[in-house]
Amino acid sequence: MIRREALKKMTLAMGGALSATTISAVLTHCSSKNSFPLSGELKFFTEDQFQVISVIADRIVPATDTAGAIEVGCPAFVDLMLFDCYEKDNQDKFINGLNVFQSEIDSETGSDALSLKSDKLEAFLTDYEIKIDSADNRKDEEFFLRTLKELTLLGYFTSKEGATMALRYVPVPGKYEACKEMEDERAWAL
Amino acid sequence: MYFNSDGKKDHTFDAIVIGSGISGGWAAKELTEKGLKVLLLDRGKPLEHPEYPTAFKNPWEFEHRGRITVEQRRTHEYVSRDYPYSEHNESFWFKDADAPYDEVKRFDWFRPDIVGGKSIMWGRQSYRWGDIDFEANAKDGHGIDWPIRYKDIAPWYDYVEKFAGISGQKEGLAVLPDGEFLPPMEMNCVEKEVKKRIESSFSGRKMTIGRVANLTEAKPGRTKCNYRNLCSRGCPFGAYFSSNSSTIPAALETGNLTIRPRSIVSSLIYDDENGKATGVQVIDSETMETTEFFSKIIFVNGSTLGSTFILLNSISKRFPNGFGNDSGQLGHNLMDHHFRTGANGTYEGFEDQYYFGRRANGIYIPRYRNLNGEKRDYVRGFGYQGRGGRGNWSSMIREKGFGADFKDKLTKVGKWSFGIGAFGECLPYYENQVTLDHDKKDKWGLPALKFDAEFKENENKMRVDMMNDAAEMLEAAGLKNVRTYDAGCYPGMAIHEMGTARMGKDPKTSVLNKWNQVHTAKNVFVTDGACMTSSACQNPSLTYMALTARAADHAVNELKKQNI
Ligand SMILES: Cc1cc2nc3c(=O)[nH]c(=O)nc-3n(C[C@H](O)[C@H](O)[C@H](O)COP(=O)(O)OP(=O)(O)OC[C@H]3O[C@@H](n4cnc5c(N)ncnc54)[C@H](O)[C@@H]3O)c2cc1C
Ligand code: SF4
Repeated sequence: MIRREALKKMTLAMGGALSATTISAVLTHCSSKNSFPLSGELKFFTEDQFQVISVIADRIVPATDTAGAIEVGCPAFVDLMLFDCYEKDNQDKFINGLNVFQSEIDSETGSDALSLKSDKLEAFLTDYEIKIDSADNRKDEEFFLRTLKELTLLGYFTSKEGATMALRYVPVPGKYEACKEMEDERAWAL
Repeated sequence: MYFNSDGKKDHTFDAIVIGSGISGGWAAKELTEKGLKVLLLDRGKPLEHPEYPTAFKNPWEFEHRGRITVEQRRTHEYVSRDYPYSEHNESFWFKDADAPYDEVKRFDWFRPDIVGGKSIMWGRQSYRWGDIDFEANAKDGHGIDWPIRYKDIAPWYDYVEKFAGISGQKEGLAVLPDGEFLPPMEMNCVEKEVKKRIESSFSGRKMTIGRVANLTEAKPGRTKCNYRNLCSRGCPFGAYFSSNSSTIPAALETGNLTIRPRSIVSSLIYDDENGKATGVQVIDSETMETTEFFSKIIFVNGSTLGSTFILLNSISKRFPNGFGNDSGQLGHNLMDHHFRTGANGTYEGFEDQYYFGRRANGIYIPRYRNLNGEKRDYVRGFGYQGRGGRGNWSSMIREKGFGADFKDKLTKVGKWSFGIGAFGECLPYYENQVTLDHDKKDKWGLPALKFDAEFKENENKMRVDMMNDAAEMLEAAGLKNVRTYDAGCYPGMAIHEMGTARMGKDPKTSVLNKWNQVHTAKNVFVTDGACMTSSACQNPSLTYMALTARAADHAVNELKKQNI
């Protein structure tokens, strides 16, 4: 993983205002227990929940040659969205699903989400998503994971980095060309 | 020129126009250009071109990235039921909690809260109606006959199209007459392919590029479309037709227009002695202060239901059941198009083709059912709107996966897909109606509307064809994974509500005459959707524009002759 690259971009995205603790949090990210910086006050999650949400968001959109979910602030966005845009019953469903997820990852891997190596966590999530989707008594877990993925993707692809680097963003195209040979495989941001 | 005086003589104008949306903007333009001093009243907040608050915002500058909050859903109970209400243009919509209405049956009413009305948020699809539409009631006996035919309105379609700027392709079809078009927008590769195959597989069916009020050539004070597809936030380029960018500036140019925002017209004032309306009662939406304004003629353009409300709430000795309501038809025959059914599929091929720019327009398949002697198990017909395009992350948001490969997949251009959805005609049923509920008052002490309307057997039978024909055409066009849908539809959802003060030849069965004048108070004109005698299946606003310009012309001629 190209951490330094990502860090540089993150610094750009956030206008260069990165605290020392944030930087060390990102740099230590690959070591034993993951921990994610908080940029402000949480509205919906507890601090522990925020850490778990972050480590999953990091697997939904990892940093590659472009920034990932963490650098663009997806976990805080998920926190805000759940607080502002979801009714109480869905908020409860989400938290319930998250709790079930946490106890299952513990019992199945013998380790919590934050302590798992990222490839192990990714493999677990991949299987887990398929498993809960095919079961019909796992509505809360399904809701939790689907919502987290949707919000992470929404937050990411509409972020400045996501829209302009991962995708291609042209605010004022000025013209319409109906059929063109594709020069770049990246999709338009809007 | 905004209103800022309180002298009594300043309260008298040649004409008052109620509502500055699509139809009211036209009334103001035509009447001022013909030399009348006009007061344009709107209950909404001011919104001046080109100062649209969110037009240039980037996606990341919206806190909720376009979504609305639980709190907004609570205060905007009805508009939040569907897509038009979003964080991108949140402030343009009326706060439903200030004026809740009754739903005997569900009705989704989309109320704007700005000068310019829904001309800012509209989808801009602009189609003429043909003789088949104006003759429909007379031929199959539903509703009453229209007092006009295509030839009466055709020159006015020409007239409004030239000013508004409608881009489109001439097709020479009687069901969808051609207009004074600006150059058409182009179809993308898949659309072109689908068009070819549909037209060769089904005789009598056509697929054309959408006819849309977005400029493909500049007009005075308005540049051509920049293909941003952010129109519903307002266009600083003035590249699509709205009152704010087009008719209001033209009216202001004359020096004859006064605009007064935040002015809720509660009723018309009727003078029993000379048998005329003399003015309007206005409540200031902020201060609650009431005022009266006076004029020789009044154009009621508050949108179908806004206007119907005003008429129902204008009670006098002469009109105890609502203004001009001798026929008892006021509030009845409420129609809207039914839609939200169709099909879509994926297209294999053109993998190396993409497009540049965001075309704020799709394709159109004009009505082909129940024409040339065909008889289905329902009357009237439907047309399709649709588009082809390539997917991106948002179309893949439910895909399974995690990690770098998943991210990579979502950043890339997705598959081509193509879909169409039908808009169907709704018959005028007397029992589909709005009335006033005097027991329920809004923030300004005005009674609430009570909706009691539904789609019936004819619409439901038509929906079967609307869905199945779509799938059949897409299969024939070579699309894969063709899937049909019927998401269900309630009146109001299409935002093409109309018919509650219909035009007709006979004052016993209609509210308005062939010039949109109230039969029994000829200095009052209603030229928005309330006037419609049937609903056809085409988007109606272009027809409101043409009828308004035509009525304004008549009004000024009648004033000159001192007939009104
Ligand atoms: C998302 C969306 C997409 C649409 N797409 C299309 C389309 O593609 N093609 C098409 O033809 N149509 C479309 N429409 C419908 C179109 O917007 C309406 O048909 C059109 O705006 C109606 O014009 P109007 O003048 O009757 O009303 P409006 O444009 O709604 O204007 C009415 C005005 O009257 C004011 N008003 C109401 N009551 C009062 C009162 N008591 N006192 C003072 N002022 C009052 C309102 O504030 C408003 O400004 C769409 C609408 C929406 C919302
Ligand atoms: S697509 Fe065209 S009309 Fe719409 S906002 Fe952009 S420039 Fe204006």
